[in-house]
Amino acid sequence: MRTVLAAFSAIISGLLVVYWVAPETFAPKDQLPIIKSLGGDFELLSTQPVQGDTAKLSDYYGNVILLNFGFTYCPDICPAVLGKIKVITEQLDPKGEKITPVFVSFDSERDSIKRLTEYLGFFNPNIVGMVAEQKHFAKLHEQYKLLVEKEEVKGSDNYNFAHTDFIYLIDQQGHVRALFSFNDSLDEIKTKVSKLL
Amino acid sequence: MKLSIITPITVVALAALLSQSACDKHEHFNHTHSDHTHSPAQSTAEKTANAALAAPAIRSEATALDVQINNAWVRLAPATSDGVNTAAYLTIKNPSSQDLILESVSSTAAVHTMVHDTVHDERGMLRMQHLDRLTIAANSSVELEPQGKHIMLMGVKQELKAGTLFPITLNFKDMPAMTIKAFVKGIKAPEAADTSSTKHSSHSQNDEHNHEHSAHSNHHH
Repeated sequence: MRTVLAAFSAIISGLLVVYWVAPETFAPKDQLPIIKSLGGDFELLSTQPVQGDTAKLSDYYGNVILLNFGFTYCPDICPAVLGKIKVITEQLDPKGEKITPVFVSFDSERDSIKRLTEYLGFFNPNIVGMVAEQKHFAKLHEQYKLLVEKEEVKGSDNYNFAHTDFIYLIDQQGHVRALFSFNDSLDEIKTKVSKLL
Repeated sequence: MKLSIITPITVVALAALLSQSACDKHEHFNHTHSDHTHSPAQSTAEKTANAALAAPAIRSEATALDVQINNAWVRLAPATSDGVNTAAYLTIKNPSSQDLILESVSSTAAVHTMVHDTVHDERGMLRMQHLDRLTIAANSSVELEPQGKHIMLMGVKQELKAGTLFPITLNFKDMPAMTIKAFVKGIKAPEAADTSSTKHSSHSQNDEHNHEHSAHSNHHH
C-alpha cells in the first residue's frame, strides 16, 4: 500500500514538474485570449498591394498580422522592433505565406510611400507599410491605444516622436490576441505567434 | 528578459593616462594632444602595463585612468535616399577610482550626434531623453544598448555597410578627445540573439581590422 502511494505521488509530482516546465503541453492550441479592448480595421495610404493606393488592415485578414507603429527616422526603437519582426517572420514563415507584418508610420510629413517602401524592404519586402496622418491618430488611439507625441531634438531643427512601441499579434479573423512590448524576448513572441499558425 | 549581447568585442580603444600625482595629472589633462598614436590595442595595453609597473608603488590618489570602450557597433540602417538616422552602442568601462564623465559625442560621419536614453514614461510611451552628460562611476561600466542609452546618429553621411567602420568621437571631461571606430552590423545582432544565426560577417573581420582601431596612449612620468 505504501509503495502504491509512493508511486502515485511520484507520478503526480512528475506531472506537476512537466506542467511547470512546459505548460503549453496542457493548454489548448488556441489558448491566447482575444483582447477585446484592442483592435479594429483602418484604411490608410499603403505600399501594398498597389504602391500609393489606400489599403485596409482587413485586406490582410486570413493571415496572422504583426502590427506596429513607428517612423523611419527613428534611430533606436523602431529598427529594433522591425529587426525582431524580420527574424520572427523569417523563422516561422520562411515562405512569407502565413504572416503579414504591417508597419504604420505616424510621420506623414517625412515618410512618403516611396521612402517607406525602401526602408521596409531592407527588413522584409513582405512588410506592408502604411502612413497615418494626424487626423487618423484619435481613431488609432481608440482602437490600439496608440500614443504619439512630436518632440524637438535638442540642438537641431529635427524632430523625433515619443510613442508607444507595441507589436500587436492579430489573428486570421482580425482579433488582437497578444501585445508585445520592447522587453519581450524573441522566444516569447515566437511562442505566441506559433500558436496561431 | 534582458537580451544578452553575444557578439565578440569589436573595438578596443584604450586611453591610458598615467601620472604620479594629482597635481601632475591636472597639468596633463589640460594640455592638448596632437600626437594621437594609432597602434594596435594590444601593444597599447602592453605599454600601459609597463608604465603601470614602472610607476611608484605608493599611489594614494587614483591617478591611473584606463578607459575601455568595448563592443562598439552601429546599427545597419536601410539606405533610404533621403536621409538615414541610426544609433551606436558601446560599453564604457572605467576601471579607475575616479568618476568618468562623458560630456559630448560627435562623428565626422553624421550631421548630428548626441547621447540619448530611451525611457518609458508613465503612459507607456518610449521617449528619447537627451543626456547632457553621462557619468561612469569609479570602477564600473555603463552599457549603451538597444532601447536603452545610445548614441543617436542623425543624418548619416557615409554609406552604411555591414562590416565597415564608423568613427565616433567621445569627449570625456578632462581628457583628450577619443575617437573609436565602431563596426556597422546587420540587424540580426544582438537583439535577435540566436547563437546559430548571428555569426555575422563582421566577426571574421575583427582581426583584419585590428590595426584600424584607434588607441590613444599617453604616458606621463
